[in-house]
Amino acid sequence: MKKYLFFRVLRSIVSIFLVTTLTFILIYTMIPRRDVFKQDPMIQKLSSKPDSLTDYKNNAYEKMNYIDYMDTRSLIKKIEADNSKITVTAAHTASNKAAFEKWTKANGYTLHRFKISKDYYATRDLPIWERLSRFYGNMIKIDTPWAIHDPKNPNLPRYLKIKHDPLVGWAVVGSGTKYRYQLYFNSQFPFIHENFLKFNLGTSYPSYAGEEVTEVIGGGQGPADSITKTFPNGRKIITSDDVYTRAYQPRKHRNEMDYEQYKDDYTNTEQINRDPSMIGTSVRAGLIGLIISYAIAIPVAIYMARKKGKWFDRAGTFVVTVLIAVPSLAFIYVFRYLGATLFGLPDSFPTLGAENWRSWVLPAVVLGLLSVSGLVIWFRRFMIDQQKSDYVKFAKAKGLNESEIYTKHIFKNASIPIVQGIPGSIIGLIGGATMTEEIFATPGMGKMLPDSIQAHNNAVVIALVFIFTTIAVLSVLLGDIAMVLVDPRIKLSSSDTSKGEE
Amino acid sequence: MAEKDTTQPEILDSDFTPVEIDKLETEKLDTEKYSYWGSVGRAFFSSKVTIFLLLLMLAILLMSFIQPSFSGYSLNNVAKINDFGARYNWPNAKNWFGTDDNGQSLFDAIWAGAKISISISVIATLITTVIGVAVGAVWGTSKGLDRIMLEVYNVISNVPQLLIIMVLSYSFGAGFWNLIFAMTVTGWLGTAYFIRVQVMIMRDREYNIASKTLGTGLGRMVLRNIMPYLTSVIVTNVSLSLPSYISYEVFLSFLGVGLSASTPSLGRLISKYSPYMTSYPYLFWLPVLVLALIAVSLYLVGQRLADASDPRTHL
Repeated sequence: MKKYLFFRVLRSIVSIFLVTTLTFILIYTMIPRRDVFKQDPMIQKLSSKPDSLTDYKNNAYEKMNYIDYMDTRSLIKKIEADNSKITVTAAHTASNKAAFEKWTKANGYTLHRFKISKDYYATRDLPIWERLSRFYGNMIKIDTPWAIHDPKNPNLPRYLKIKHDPLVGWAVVGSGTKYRYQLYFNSQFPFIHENFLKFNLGTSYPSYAGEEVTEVIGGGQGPADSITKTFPNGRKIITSDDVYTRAYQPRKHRNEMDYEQYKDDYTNTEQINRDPSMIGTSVRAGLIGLIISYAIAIPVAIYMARKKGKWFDRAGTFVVTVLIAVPSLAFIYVFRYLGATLFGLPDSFPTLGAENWRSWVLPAVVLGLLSVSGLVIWFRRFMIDQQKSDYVKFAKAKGLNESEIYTKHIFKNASIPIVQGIPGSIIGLIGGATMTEEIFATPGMGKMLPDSIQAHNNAVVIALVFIFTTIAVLSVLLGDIAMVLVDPRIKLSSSDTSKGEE
Repeated sequence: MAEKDTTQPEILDSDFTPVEIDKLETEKLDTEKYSYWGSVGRAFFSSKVTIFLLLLMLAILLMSFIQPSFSGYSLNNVAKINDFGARYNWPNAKNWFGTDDNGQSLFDAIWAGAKISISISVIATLITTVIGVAVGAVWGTSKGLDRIMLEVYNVISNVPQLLIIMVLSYSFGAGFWNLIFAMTVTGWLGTAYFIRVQVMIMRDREYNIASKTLGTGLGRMVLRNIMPYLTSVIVTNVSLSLPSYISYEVFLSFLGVGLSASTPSLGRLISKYSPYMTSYPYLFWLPVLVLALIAVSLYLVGQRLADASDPRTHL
């Protein structure tokens, strides 16, 4: 079993890796790179200044790892750093030109000239494998006490300590690390938080230009929130700084007020936002949707199986069949309309915002309803198959009544496929969420995918594929493990047929 | 009784004519001749609801494939945009489904859109089913292929299909055939896996073991012994995938990802008219209604056909 689990986890990682890599290659080779500027307002603004435009475009390409770019200044600096004997200037002389050409040739760069100023700049196209290796190489960032090297602060102490911090309570506190609090606890889900392991999925562009993709997807949204905190200097201040995210601020950029407040160099904080992050929004709506779909599907399926062939079963089968066939888009619009007119719920998430629970009702309920029809058909079939099994006949022969048989005997056995079905439901919810979030304008990951496709935000598209695939693969893995826990008769290791029962 | 002649006439050898034993004749059964497709037809047409659904489906199909060639509808036609009398007409005798903000008839728009949506779903289903059944049949019988294909399947099946189609159609760019390619390039795997499981179940049945002992080759066994049993399973699969591809196409066009901007499709119409949901509800709800009718009738007719094509219902 342990060996099986080990290989299973390994396979899951390989499958996440494969899907992400394929998506990466597809997107960066199939989509023309100039497409990223299609929606960029800067292009219009700069069109009268071709040199700035070229510089802007090349900088953008560099941020997205399409090319390595050196403008005139950094090119000169680089050449002089490589060979201290040469002095190069930006002047358009023959000797400078020769020096530029020599260096670019040696390093695989191509030399270009700006249109107006005729200054030199160099670019190097990155092959896809190099971009891939940069993507994976920078993906995981581990924080250590040796992470910060500030020439202005040579005596920075380097340690990791478990102590009671006046700001955050008990925590693993670091110095010399990028983040002050490596491990801390608070009242927010999932209660234990860390800062020593960070994912880096690239830079977002052109929507949310320049922000880290992880920050776009995982950072809070909405207006800033403020709380009252007692700072190390003893003062009670209303602040919107998220003290848990304190990161090292180089002394060059020190803000004396912040330094006075925190009494150390870790003054670079993120903002506390009122609304949950994209991933938080999607997970919340998804979990509520998952619970709703099971809460509706299981009782309905049990009742239909008990009344097999009666009017309730027949009507239920008809409704479920129609719901399966109706395209999700029509389905979502109809239920949105019904919810808005019958219950007066807001038909769009931003109308009341994330603080108001009423905004969450329709998106979550409709998301749950989307998968109800599939679940009902499946559970009904399973319950009916169980009705014919020997243990039910035996229970009947013993004289147990219907409801006792259903609640005590059949339901226990039926809980196996219920557990096994959860991963499938989660995969379904991801697909469903792209639709419901788009239609309800819920600011979640599901809406972000079509949005970033339309904005040609390749980095975010790849990051979302990575996140969705990881969630899906892990849910299948956990679903199989949960199934073994529920029913010890099932052996995962001996079979590849465990998947065949779907 | 008394009148009856009690004397038996003598039976002589010459009264008999010798007959050769006809080997074919002795094998004949005294039951009705069973024709598979005949029985399928009989079972299919026995229900009035099915006939109604079939007629509805045919009417929709004929409308969507014939009406657009007469109406000459074009999504980008703005000839009547300044004719205020022609704009936003509620459904009436002239324009059955009313007119939109460009003064175009919604009736024409819906059928032109339905034509594209149905075409995409039918072509995509056809491709995935043909490839899926062919690969699935081989997959179910070959152990070596099984090992590789299972790994491929495990990687792909864990990713939501909508996600795959969305990312692929984004990468390939907009267009009718690009969208179909994006839908089918991994879509056939699901069908193939489904067929593989069915073939594996059938493969080890006793009649097949018997057939194998009698020397039937693998190809003949799959084509003649197993595949006929899977007709109803395949038809069920087709009836499930037709509406699902319509659903994908509609959602992608709704987002503006799959088809180019000038191609009318039901998804694009719904997305185009969704701002009018409260002001001119007919513009939004009529395309949604037609979309639902198309998908439901295709699915239900398919399900009935699948039921009818199961030989167990012929008794």
